[in-house]
Amino acid sequence: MTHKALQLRQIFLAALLLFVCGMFSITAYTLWRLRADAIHSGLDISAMHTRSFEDFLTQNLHVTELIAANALTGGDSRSAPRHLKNDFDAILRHAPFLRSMSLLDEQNRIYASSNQANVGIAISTRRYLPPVAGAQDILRIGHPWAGRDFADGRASSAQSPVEAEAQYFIPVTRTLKIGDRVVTLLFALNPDYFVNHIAQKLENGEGSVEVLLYDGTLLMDTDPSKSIGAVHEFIEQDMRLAEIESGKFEEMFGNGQHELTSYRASRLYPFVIVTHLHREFALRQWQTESKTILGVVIPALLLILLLSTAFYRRQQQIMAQRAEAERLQRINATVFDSSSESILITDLNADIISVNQAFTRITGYRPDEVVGCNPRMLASGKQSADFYVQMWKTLLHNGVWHGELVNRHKNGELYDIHMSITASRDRMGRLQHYIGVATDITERKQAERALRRESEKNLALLRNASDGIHILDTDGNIIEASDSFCAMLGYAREEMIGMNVAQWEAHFAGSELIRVFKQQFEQKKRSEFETCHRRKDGTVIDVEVSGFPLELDGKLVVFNSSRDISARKQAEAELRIAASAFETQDGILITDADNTILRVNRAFTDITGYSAEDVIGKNPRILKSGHHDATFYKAMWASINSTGAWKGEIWNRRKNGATYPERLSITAVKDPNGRVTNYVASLADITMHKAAEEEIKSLAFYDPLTQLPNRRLLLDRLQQALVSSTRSGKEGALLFIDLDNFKTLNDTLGHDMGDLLLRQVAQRLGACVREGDTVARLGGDEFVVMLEDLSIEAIEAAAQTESISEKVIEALNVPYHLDTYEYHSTPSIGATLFNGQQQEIDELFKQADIAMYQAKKAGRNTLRFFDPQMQETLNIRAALESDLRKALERSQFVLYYQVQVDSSRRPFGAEALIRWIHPERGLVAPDQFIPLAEESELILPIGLWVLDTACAQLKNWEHDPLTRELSLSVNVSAKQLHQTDFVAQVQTVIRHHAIRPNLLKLEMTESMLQGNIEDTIVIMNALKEIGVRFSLDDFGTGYSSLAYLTQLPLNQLKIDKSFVQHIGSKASDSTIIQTIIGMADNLGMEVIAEGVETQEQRDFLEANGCMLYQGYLFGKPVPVEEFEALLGRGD
Amino acid sequence: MRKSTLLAMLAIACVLPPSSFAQEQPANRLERILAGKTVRVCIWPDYYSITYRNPKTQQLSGIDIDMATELGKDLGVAVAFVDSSFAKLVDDVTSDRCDIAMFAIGITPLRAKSLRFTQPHLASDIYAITTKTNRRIKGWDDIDKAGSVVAVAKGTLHEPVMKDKLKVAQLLVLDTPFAREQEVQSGRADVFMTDYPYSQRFLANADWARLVSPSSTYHITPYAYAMLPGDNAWHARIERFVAAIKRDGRLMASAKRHKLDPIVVP
Repeated sequence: MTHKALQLRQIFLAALLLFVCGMFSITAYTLWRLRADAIHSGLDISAMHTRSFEDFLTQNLHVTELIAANALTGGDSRSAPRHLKNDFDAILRHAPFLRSMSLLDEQNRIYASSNQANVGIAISTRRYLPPVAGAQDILRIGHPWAGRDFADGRASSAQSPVEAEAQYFIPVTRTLKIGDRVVTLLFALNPDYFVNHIAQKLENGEGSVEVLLYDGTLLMDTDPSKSIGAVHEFIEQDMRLAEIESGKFEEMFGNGQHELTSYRASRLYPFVIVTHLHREFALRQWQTESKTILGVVIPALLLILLLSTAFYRRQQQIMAQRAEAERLQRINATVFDSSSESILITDLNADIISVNQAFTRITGYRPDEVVGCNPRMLASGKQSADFYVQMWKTLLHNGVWHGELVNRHKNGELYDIHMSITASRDRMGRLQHYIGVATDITERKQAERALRRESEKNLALLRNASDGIHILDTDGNIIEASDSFCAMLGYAREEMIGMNVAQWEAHFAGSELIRVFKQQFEQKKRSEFETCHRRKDGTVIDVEVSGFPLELDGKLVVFNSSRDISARKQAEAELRIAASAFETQDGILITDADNTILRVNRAFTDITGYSAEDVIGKNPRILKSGHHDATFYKAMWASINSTGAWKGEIWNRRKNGATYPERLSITAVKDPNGRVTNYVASLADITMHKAAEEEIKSLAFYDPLTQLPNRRLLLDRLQQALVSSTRSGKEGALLFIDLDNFKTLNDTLGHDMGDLLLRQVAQRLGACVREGDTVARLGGDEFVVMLEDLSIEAIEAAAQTESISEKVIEALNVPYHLDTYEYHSTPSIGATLFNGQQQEIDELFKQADIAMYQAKKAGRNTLRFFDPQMQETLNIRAALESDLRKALERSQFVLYYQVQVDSSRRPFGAEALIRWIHPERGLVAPDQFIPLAEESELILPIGLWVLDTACAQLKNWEHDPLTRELSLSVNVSAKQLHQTDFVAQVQTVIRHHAIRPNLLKLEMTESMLQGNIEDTIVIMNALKEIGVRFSLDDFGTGYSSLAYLTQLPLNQLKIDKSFVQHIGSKASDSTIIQTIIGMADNLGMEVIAEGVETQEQRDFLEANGCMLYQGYLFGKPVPVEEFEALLGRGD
Repeated sequence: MRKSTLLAMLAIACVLPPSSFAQEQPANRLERILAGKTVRVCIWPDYYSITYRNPKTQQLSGIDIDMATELGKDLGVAVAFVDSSFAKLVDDVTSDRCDIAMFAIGITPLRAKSLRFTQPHLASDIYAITTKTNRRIKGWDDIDKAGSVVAVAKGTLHEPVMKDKLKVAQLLVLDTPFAREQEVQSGRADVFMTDYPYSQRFLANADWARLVSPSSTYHITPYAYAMLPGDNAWHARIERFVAAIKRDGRLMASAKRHKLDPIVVP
């Protein structure tokens, strides 16, 4: 790069830098100004708030003064306290900023008050501000009191301020002169009223406001954590209130929080309002603006930078091109003058227009002697006219002519020159000049003539040389060939002479051949290259050719010598194959370029079962397993052809027919010219490797989500722990930890959040335990902690376990940050101790699991130890469940019937109630086995049995006029109702017994209607179609929204016995019963009361419109025989 | 025991003459109303969303104002609104200052002794109102604490219910208009108890107030209209009216207008 260009670049860069810096400075200055403005206006806002709050407070206190002034005008201050109280109460009704109002007597005791409880309390107003000076009517403010009013309050002081968040008030006195007496009114100012007002004006988080007494006592603060009554020392030094009553400034607190603070003293009273506005709040708008400005300025600057750099580059390029053109022109001029060859330029008519110095040296003519002349003047007459005609023809046809000619010097002497003439054309292709360049070759010519004589002598020698020597003319035809060359190619010498190089050349062809051949001529030195020659019999041999150009009899020829290197080539190829083949210890297979197998090694035979003899000469296709399709092989060859190699896993077939996986890599071997000579395949049997991989997978000991040990590793460690515990005698513990409500989290926030929580839980658990303890995850939200090396004493070990568990509970209770959610989770922990003596791992797991469920039952977020008694309870339950399973097949269930009557005690129906006659326990009540049946799905067959038995009973009753019209209610559980084929079941049973469906009444409980109400409606409507009727049991105890009632095809509401029982004793239950009856009436349903036990209850129900009853008053649930007997008796 | 009952009856008999005089008028109140072309309806003009008189416009609004107007239409008579309150309710009805009280009157056992109710048309739980700055009352469970003061309006159903339910908090029973709000705003009481309609409307207008809802169902009371017991024809006519407004959607439409549809009894 020139100095100038360098300078230009520096100037350009400097200008650019200046521009960018300028822009940045302007932007920065603007942002800084905006920021200062934002803070300034923030301070203004702070001051505005302060002024507004000061005004509000001062006005309210002023109103208090007015109230005081008018309070005693109606009566005398010595009126009875009761009258005064009434006056005060009336005043307070319109002054929500006052909590109470009192009159003090001369001893500063409360004489009368709006709050009777205040009377008699002595109040010390000594430290109220401002201090008393003379007998003026002034309002004085005291220090805050904790409490609601003087009666239950306590005066605070700087040492014992009001507790944060506690209720308080501010005492205010106002003295009045009535006649010659001075009386004092005492007010309890309600600070909540003011704080409420301020909080409404000041957005949450925008800042805080405090109200201080002149002595620095904090009277009010919007921040509830501040201690009211504490003294703020800064008030005197920072705000010289005596001089300036208001001000604003920015301040920084110890915690780095910047505040825009303003203060203002009340214009009438000794308090100051201080408003702190958070600076970041004031700057929020500015931040948004800054982002916008930077968002515009930075891309704009970058664009300008980019454009100007591109422009600069372009300018540089143009300058460089111009400099290059000038340089070439200068070179041309220099070459023209300093050239040793003579140069002559003519115009279109071949008249000379310019010659160089060399011309004068060679021809003897000065430029001025030849300009305007025809170059013909130089002719010697040695060349025939035909020569010139030929020359012009070539020149005009090719645009160039080369040749040697003899000319005459100015002094008459002849000289040899080699001349080249070029026709120079302009851009449009029009002929402009002829340029002749001539070299004086007189000396060379003489030397050549001498050499030729010498060469002819040597020619005989050459013909007998061992390498194949041959001389070619510029067209590639043989001028001369040695005997050895003839023998090499298998031609007779006579055939050889005149043959063209293309006839035997086997490696290069066409334009390639011409290029190589031409290069031999143009390269004025010895050239060497390897190629192939084709012999007369068609075989091809590798040769090394070395040659050099020379002039023979005035003609340019090339002198070539070919040496047969076939043997050497063969050896080289062999060596390459060998090198590739044995680099590896795997099975190896080598083919030629046509995929014919040349060699295989020992390992190949071991893997495939094929010996070398089996496969040599064949195609590797014989190994194909048939597991891969054509596209697989196509892709493989595409890779080999483009990259020279392929690697992968492939299934192949052994000689014995078995297929096996192998790792195969195929490499193409190329000769130095890049032609593929061989393919080498290296293969390894990976059957074992595959199996090992699977094993490793299954051996994974860690839970991939939390990186904690999984069940397998835990079992392994627990096994070890049991052994070590047996040896040491020390107790260990197993904690089962289950996250409460984890499923809800998964369902509501998704599994990603669930996973996030599990990972955090895993981390926290890890931090809770001691070194050497194990934290594992069994799956889902189940974690296990195994503690080892606890105390030898079981009691102490339990205490240690409890302490660690408490740590765990505490750690897992800290809220979790799941993405943007704050989530609170709690664990339930079941623990069991082990000491290695005859304890099975399964047993330990079961114990910890039971204990964990015990913890869940105890309300979650707690720890429970396994207790053998717990096990016992469960055992009993399991036995009951097993009995229950058998009960159906052993026909241990019976139905009892409880009569339902109308208002004239006439039976109109019954409710069927199941009983279990247990062979050992006797009669088992439904509440002891129905919940169990619900849990274990046994409810479904039991429910069907009840339905079936009840329908059979209805059929039975058809035969007796006494029972023919009885309806029968059957209880249906939620599980039963939501079976997909429940409607079909009911239909089948009805059809089977051929009963009237309207006598069957299905009783459902209100709780069944929660959950998927839409489904329930569909099922109920389908059953209604059949003719079945519905009763809603336990009505009034469940969910209180009544809207669904109108959507269900209910026929009957059943008032729950809990309401009926309280008739006469609990007024609210009576009201509910009346409401239920009214509601049923509105919805067109009948209503029945259950659990009716007394006549009084029955009468109340009847009086309120309930006409159907069921209960002990009319009959207990009894077996069918007794029931029928009862009907007979009633009749 | 028996003697004291007799004494009480004697006392009632002494008080009775003016009201028994009222009963000497034509026994059928319905006929009287139709003849006089006016039905007198007792309302409580402080009851937001039910029977509220805006002090700025003196305009009445609320679901029971709508229903009273509908009643007038159904009977073909004019409606005269008579100001009453829960404290004066029983007295106003028994001394014949109005034919019916229509201001969402909670059915309480005490009132049921002296009044005859229609079937309920609304049912509401109890809610508490406190100030935004009251930091001790954060949730429902903070109300019944030592030192708390709970205000209720005299005569409302909240008075006996809270008397029964509060264990340690002090109960303040007030009988001047808007006294509950004044006590809470001045800090003399911590909360006042009210119902769904009042709380909804009140919160919309008082920027210092905050609602405290019970964490689970606390005490649901059905609301109805009240009359003097005895007059079966009048009572049957009103029951028909209540059934009609429920059936033809007038009740629901008005409830939606006053945002009371969640508490309508079907």
